Amino acid sequence: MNLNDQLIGILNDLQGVWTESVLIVGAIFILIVGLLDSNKWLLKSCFLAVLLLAAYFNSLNDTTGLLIEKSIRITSSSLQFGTLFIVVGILLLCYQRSAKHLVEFCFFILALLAGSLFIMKANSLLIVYLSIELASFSSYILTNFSFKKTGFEAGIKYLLFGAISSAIMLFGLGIIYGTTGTFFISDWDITTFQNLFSQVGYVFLLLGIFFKISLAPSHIWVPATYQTAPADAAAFMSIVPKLAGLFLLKSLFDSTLFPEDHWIYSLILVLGMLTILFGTLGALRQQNARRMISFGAIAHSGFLLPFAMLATDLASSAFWFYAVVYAIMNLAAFYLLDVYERKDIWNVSDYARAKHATWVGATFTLVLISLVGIPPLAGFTAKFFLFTSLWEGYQSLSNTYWLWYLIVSVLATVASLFFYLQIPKQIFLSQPQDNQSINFKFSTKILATLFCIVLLLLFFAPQLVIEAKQLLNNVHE
Amino acid sequence: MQNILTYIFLFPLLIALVMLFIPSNRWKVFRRLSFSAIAIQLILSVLLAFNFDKELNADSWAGMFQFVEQVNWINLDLGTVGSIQIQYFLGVDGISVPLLVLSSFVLLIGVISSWNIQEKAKGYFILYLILSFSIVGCFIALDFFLFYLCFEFMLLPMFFLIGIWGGARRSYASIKFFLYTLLGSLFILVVMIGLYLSVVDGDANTFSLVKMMDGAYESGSVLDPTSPELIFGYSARVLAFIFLIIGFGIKLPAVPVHTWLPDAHVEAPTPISVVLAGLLLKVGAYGLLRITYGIFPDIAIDYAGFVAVVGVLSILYGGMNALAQRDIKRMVAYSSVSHMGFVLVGLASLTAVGFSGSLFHMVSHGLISPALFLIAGVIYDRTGNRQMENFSGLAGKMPVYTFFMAIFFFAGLGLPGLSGFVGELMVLMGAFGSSQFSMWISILATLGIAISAAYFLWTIQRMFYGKYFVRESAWEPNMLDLTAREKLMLIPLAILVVVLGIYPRMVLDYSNETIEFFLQHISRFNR
Repeated sequence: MNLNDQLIGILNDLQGVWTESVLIVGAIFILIVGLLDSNKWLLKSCFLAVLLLAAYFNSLNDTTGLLIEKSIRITSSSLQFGTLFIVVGILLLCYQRSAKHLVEFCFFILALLAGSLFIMKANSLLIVYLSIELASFSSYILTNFSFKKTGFEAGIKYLLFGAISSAIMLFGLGIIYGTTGTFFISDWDITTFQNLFSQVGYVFLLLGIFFKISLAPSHIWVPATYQTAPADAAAFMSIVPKLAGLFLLKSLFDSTLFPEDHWIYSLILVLGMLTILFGTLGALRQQNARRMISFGAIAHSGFLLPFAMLATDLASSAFWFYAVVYAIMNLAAFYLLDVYERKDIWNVSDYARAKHATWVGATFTLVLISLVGIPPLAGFTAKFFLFTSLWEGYQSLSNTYWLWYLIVSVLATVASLFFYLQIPKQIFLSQPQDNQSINFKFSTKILATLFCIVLLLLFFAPQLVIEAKQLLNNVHE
Repeated sequence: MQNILTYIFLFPLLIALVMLFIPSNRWKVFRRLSFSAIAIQLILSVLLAFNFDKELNADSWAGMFQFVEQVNWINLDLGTVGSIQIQYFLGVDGISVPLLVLSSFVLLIGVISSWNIQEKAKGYFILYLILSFSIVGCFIALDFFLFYLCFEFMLLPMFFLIGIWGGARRSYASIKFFLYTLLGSLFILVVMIGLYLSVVDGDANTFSLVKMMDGAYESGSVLDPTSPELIFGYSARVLAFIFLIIGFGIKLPAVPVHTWLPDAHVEAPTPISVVLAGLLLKVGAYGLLRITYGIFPDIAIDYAGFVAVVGVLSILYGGMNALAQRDIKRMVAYSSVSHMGFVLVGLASLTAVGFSGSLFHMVSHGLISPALFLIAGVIYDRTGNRQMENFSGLAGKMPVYTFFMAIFFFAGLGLPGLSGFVGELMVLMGAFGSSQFSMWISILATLGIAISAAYFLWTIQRMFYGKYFVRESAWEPNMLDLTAREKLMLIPLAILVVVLGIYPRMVLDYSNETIEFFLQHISRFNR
């Protein structure tokens, strides 16, 4: 192979990471712009420009498969999720944010986004580790971006927990390399993990991923983090790295590494059920609204998990649908939490004071109801896909844990209604103590309504999401 | 006549959408709009009932439905596994027509009863119309997904209608109602998914209730009757049947999952109690009849005794509780539990008389219980109190009120000549003639009538007979007889109760062919 061919090969391979390169270069660019001029709108438009450019490169990409010495694997669905993540990033601009520390905020969000994109595309264990670290470090810092003592506490807790997780994962990677002799996920097959030692390494690797998707027992950092981080950062952290981790998990499970009746499936399903239980039961006794929604987000990790473990077409489509709807719901929920917090409404019981703001209250109710999964909102369709996938999992894999998972999800849905309803209950059903009226800006009302309209629309026409998937796929093929 | 079901179904929703754009300070507009929307709905459904072919007979469920509308609604292409197809599929048969007319009628009574609501009238009537849309939808949907959508759709408006406009403990009651019924509907959702994955239309899976009732199972699927597969040691069909009994039993409500009902009824404002008792409970009963019994007749035969015992338990336990109540609205609520038990016994009998009796009892109770709640509401409107011991000798003071009270109380306890008697009689005839369960069950159910006579008559004695007395002197000037609006609601109900008592064929003519076919269908599974 002559030099010219090699260079062309490298250039071709680099296509696969253009999006990430744009994000990282853009992050540095914003840092420099911020040094020169800290105008809020200038920075925000730079942020938007970087994301749009990244989206453009993401859609331009037409190479799939293994790239850069097999360390990156690009599939059409990883590009499609990439688009979703970038769109989530753009939607963060809806949140209210002052010019203070805006530069750093943009920088870390872009870094987190780049890290998450790398998590999805990782094929080499090294990239898995590095990308998880990149995403984690950005998250640690974003947690503390409210610059309060509690934020600092949560950040340290998160950091310590993350350090332990990454150490365990590193240990697991070492074991896997030692026993299998390969760094590349694509080299694994059903014969790779036959001895117990390598399986232990595999479980350690999973623990590192579980940390990102906040699955029990690595979920403990979530409530404090989401509660104290700024709302936009919390929304982003609850959506993008989590879905990226799930995507990685899914690509691990799509290639059959274990026989159908292997204990590792049962183990993960049990952990998923525990996640749902911890999330739901934990939320039941929360006073702080944001903390309650955070526990709900933990339960949603449990609801998302089965899609990652099923290799069927239904599960892939359902995963995509659930991911999109989950992203919209969480963006809307954190947005509205933020809106109320700016009126000094933090605890669930404080919402009684917002009794006169009926319109925003009604939209918040719809978003919460969608998080429970009740028609006519997209959250129901997502839950419906979940139950269908679980049933299909039971039918095709004949492991009763799938059935238990179904039962746990159903019961958790009922229980989740109880805590999600607490906020509407305070807004609409309580007697207000003082008659101060709280008014929201017109733009807030419009945005909240738009979120609800999208959620309603996706219930009545779920095909839009599926068609968007096919559309994104066609762009890449 | 084309697309008439769509008009009946979607018209209230359309009006609700229009209301969204009317400024909320013009509160009188909302009640007028709601009234006209529901009135048009009622006219259309009566029109439909007149054009319904009562003699239609077919050899499969697919042929039994009339005014069928079938359009593809959601078509999700999911790659190699095929697609998820959800249809907008409406149609009525002899079971749904009486219930359809009943629901438009009771909903109209509900609007009249809400005439004086000024506080947040916009929200109230929008929610009310959404509620009526979903109730009617349940009775005419032939696609399980559409049915489920309507079934769940009513929870949210109901939650707010009880929670915002209700009584003192409204927030507790509304949340309890929401949680219980959501639990029930999720049980139904699980069965729905199982059925969807097991039933095929051509080569694609389908949500069509008609296909499910006709038993178009994919061989080897979980819910296929011939499939030997067991879940936790039980056949999947048995589990699905039990799940549906729980799911619809909560809505019905059957003892022991009835506890949401007294709270919800007592705390709800009068019009919502009317709709709750008159229609929501019927949705549960209709679901049992159409879905549980329609799709799982083989299991229904095996578990007839179980269903009958639950029914008798509801009759007796509900009756005993009604006997113990001092709040008149609570008493009426428990009497509903007791009466819905008869529906279960009638279904469990698996005889033509029992089935017709159940359906007739549903319609009859759908007229009597709204009236009873209106009666209770009359006292509450005047005094803000419902405790029986606070009133006595009302007969002398409010004779017209007493007259209507007497009609509906006697209809409730099953006096011959009134509609309640016919339903109970037919159910008991079915139960005694049934070979599915021991005669003791029927005897105990009969005892339930005696209990209902006891609590109704005792209430009359305590509240209406004797020397005139009200607890607070401040109530004294309010103790006037019925207003014109109250008469406007009670007179049509009273007429219908009497007419149906004398001429039950008004309902039974519609349902005869369908129920005959239903039992033929079930008898194919008799071993």
